[in-house]
Amino acid sequence: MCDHHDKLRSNNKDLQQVEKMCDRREFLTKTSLGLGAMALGSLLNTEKAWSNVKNQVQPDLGMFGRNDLGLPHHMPKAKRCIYLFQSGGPSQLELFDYKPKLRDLFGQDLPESVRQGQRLTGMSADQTSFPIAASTINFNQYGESRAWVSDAMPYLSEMVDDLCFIKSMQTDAINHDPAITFFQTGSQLPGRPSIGSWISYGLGSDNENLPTFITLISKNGGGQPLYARLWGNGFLPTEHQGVQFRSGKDPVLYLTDPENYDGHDRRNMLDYLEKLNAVQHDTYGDPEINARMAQYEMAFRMQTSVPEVTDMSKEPDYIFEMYGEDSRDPGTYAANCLLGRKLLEKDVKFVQLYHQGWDQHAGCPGGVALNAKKTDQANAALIKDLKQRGMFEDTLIIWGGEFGRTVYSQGKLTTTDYGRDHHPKAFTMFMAGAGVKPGFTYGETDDFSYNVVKDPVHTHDFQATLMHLFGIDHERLIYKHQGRRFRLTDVHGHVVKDILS
Amino acid sequence: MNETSDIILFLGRFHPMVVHLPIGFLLFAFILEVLSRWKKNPALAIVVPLALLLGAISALVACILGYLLSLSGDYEQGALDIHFWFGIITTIIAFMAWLISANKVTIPKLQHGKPYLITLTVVIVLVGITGHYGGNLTHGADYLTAYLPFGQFKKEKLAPVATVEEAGVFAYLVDPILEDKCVSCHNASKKKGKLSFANVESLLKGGESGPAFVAGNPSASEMIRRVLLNPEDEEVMPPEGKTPLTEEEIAILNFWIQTGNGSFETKMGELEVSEEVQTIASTMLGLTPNPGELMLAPGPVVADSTLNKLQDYGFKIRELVAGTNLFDVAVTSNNPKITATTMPGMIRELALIKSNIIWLSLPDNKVNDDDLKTIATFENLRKLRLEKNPITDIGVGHLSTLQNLESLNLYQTKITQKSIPVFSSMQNLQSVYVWGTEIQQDEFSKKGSDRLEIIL
Repeated sequence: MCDHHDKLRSNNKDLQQVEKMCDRREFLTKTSLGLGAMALGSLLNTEKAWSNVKNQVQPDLGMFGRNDLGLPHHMPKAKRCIYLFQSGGPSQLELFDYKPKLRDLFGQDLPESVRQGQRLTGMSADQTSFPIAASTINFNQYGESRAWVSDAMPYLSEMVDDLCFIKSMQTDAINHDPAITFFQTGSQLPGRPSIGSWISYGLGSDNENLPTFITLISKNGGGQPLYARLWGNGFLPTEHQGVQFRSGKDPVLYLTDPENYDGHDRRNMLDYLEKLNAVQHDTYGDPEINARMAQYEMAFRMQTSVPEVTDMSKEPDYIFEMYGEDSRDPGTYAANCLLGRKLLEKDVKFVQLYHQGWDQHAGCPGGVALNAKKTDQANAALIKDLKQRGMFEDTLIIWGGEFGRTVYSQGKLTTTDYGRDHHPKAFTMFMAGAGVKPGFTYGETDDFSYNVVKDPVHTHDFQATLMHLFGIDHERLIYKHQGRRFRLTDVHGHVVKDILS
Repeated sequence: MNETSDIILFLGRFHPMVVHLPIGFLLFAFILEVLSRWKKNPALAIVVPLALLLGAISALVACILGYLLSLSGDYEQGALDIHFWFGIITTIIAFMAWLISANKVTIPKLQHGKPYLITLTVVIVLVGITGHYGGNLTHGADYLTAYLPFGQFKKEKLAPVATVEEAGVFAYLVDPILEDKCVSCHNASKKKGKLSFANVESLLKGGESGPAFVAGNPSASEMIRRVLLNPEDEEVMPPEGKTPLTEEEIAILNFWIQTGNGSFETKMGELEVSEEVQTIASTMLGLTPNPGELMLAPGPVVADSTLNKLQDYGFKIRELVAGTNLFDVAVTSNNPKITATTMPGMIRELALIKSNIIWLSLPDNKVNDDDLKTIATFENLRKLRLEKNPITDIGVGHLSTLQNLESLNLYQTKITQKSIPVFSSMQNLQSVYVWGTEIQQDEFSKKGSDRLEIIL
């Protein structure tokens, strides 16, 4: 347990002092854990006690094809997921939630019976009136499912029979930072693991040459900032954090060997480094040392795997044409969609795209149209591409932001222009692919797209459903940290069974 | 004897407890007697007369209490009579054995000889027989044999159904609930409250409180009222100490009485079934509990060493559902370590766990037509990805044995329209991906069916 004759232990007095402190704490932690686990084992049934102890260690997912966490809990539908996060809060009113009656109510004050005293953001709370703004973008019905889509999304409108719209999304937060953190980690406060990290922790890697969870961000985003915690591992072991590929020509820095170095002895160097780290780990037992070793090895393997997967030169022209001309420009949303597809093909389990710029406090019609133009063709192409490759049936595609936008205009309302503030009580997302009903619309909002009138889907419900599609019972994927058992959905969340195919 | 006074029933219900005393005493006397003879130690036999006396007296008490209990009329007369008379005979013979052992009667021929031992043996046999019939009265005649190995006494099993619609509401859903929660007290031999669920006639007849159910009207049905009562209520069913019905079970009973109109013949498919009942029913029938959720029987056990070896070859192996031994096997596309010469050997090794593989994914890894001969023996495959491999129509021909296959990915292979009849012959195939092959839109549109989708 505590080896006092370790070769690393020096005769330096100061260090010995530190060692003693560590030893006592470590001794108590380790013995109490061990004894506690043994006591539990005899009290509870062995299986439960065992799983409890397993929570403390890194699950050895590679061994024997069996999962130490007892996952999946049920038959999975999704093998992989690409989450197209539309950061900023895209307006459901200009894209999918068609509200024709608003035209007649143009400029009228939003009735109190609709708002019901809801607390607004500081940006529009002091407005003297809340004039109703109808969408200036026209809507049409498409496909056999007759889904309404606005003219801002002409490519996607051809794909509606593959999509499952949820028009009754709700969230708890009204500002970007807490809302996006809530969506990605299940908590408005930073510190919890993100969805992709939970999936990586629970299900492990399908291709050890690439990270299980990769994040891609559209370049030149501007708008609301994104932070590493959105794809962070929180308290889960560090190797489960999302690895961000840079938007641009060189997605991962320092993968190429420096000038005048051929890399031949790198393997040797890593082997020695691993030995040193192993000694360190034996001494201190810090799991982060394991994580660091795993990351070194991953980086080594990525030296070959990343250049291969990010090499676009072998993609035929018709693929670039399908995704749009932007897709030839690395780092754009379209290029990221194409790269995302290539990563999924290489068995990366969770690809998370972020596109910033959907925060139309002013100039809403123009802003929505602009961002739709940047993303629409690529969204549709991604679905088409995955379909023809037979990957649509076990890939989950998710499109959505952190909240929706208000029916009333923030700032000045004219017949052609208006702004919209944040709105957490009703907004639209869509899912497609693995295990969700195609050509389906779930949930309804009132005539103002302000309140949900039928089948509300809370953010935690969405997260529970996502986990369900991966074969995970969201109530049973738990990690014990600082004395509390945590899950992605905290103590909430219901699987939305009605949207499952 | 319709009006049995409470005090009689109160005392009578001590019978099941008291009967265990004579069983213990008499058995103990027998064991001591045998031991003392075997070990040739007369000291052991000293307490035999006392044990026999206590056994006989407690048997007498048990008889009296048993008679009081029988007055309740809850038991089937035929079985009751047998238990009744065997109980009395056991008691009488037990007294006789005591008399002999304690020298209260001196019949020289019986004393201490073999006849005495025979008397004792007879007592033990009678205790056994009486106890057995008593047990049958309490737990039902098939209680003991229900889980007998070899199964010849098992109730006739219902033919399994493939869909909820095929299942008879009563036979497949209601009867198993009654069997599980009610029949131990309401059966042909033990009719608590004069009610028996042993067969349709007795169920229709009802019990002391009238009919068990009113067709079409759950709220007027006694059985529904009883199971819904507060757990503290005296009339609640099943009574305190027995496992209550679950909400799902009550929902099924309700559904049967209301929607099914209490019919014994109606099948689920003939009725309008709510989503809730549909879910409960499919769970009870062991069918898919959630829409679209695949339920498969667990695969044969695979040694960890086998899986480890296969992983070393480059296969990524994952259990689809933990503990089922059903696997998703994959090789990441264009694996640089795999060549056209190593792939055949890998696939032959993979055949070691062929019945465990449900999903198999070998895209862009030099799989050829000959390899498909081996893959064609993986009969449990549901999903097979072979895109971007040098595969022709000959290889696809081998795959026709995969009758469980639901999804087949062959995009950018060398197949032609000649493969289409093979696709059509695969009964469960739903999607075939042929984008980037010679197959064109119009070639399959005339041959395609509702079931099978060929995706370009």
